[in-house]
Amino acid sequence: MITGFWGYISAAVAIGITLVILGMAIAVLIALFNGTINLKYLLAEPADPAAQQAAQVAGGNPQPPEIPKASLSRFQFLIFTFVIAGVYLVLCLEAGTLVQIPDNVVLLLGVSGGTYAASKGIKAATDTPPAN
Amino acid sequence: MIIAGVGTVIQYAISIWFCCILITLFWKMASGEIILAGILQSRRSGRLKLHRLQMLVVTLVFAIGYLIVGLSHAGGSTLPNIPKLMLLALLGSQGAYLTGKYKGG
Repeated sequence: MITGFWGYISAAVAIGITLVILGMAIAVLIALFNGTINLKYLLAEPADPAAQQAAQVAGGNPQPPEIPKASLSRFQFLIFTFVIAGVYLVLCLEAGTLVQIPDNVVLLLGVSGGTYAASKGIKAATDTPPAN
Repeated sequence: MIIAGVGTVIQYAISIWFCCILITLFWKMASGEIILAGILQSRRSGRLKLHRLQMLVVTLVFAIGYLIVGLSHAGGSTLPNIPKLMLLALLGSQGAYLTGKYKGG
């Protein structure tokens, strides 16, 4: 029940914030759906320079062909993020309040993110030609 | 009354939004718009690698298991915990993947 001036103000602010957040969420969803946000390389990493050079020579094409390859570290990061976010969302909606996150779940996300970061590091190190 | 109504609208909206994001990702993966080619193969040799296959299996089994446990835990006030041994197994799997990747892709 809204009572008084500040009651109306708080209701207006709540509705305004909701509309802004929902608007942003819908904009992101539409952009994902129609391709404005390009998801093609969501799980892919750039090609191995040696393989790219070999394909360029074989094809006789002066422009290096694009040979992207899906990355397993990105894939597992995506899976764990969505699984934990989904379970958290469901439990929050059921309980009607924010639920607690055990330490081991945070650790799991850390391990998953750490693997992704380490994988990127390994790739960068192997792609960099050794200094003379 | 209005604030509670706004909360209910957000609950439904965020649930639908999350499902739409998941469906979009799944659909784009299935249709090939999101590149999945070569996920189990070495970057250098292009061959199937065991360390990649084991990590994919462990990741999917672990994620599906956690999803089942989490959804059956509805009404609880905390996310389901993960046993230390399972976390160690996952760590080992990911370590094996990183070692394999470092050694040869």
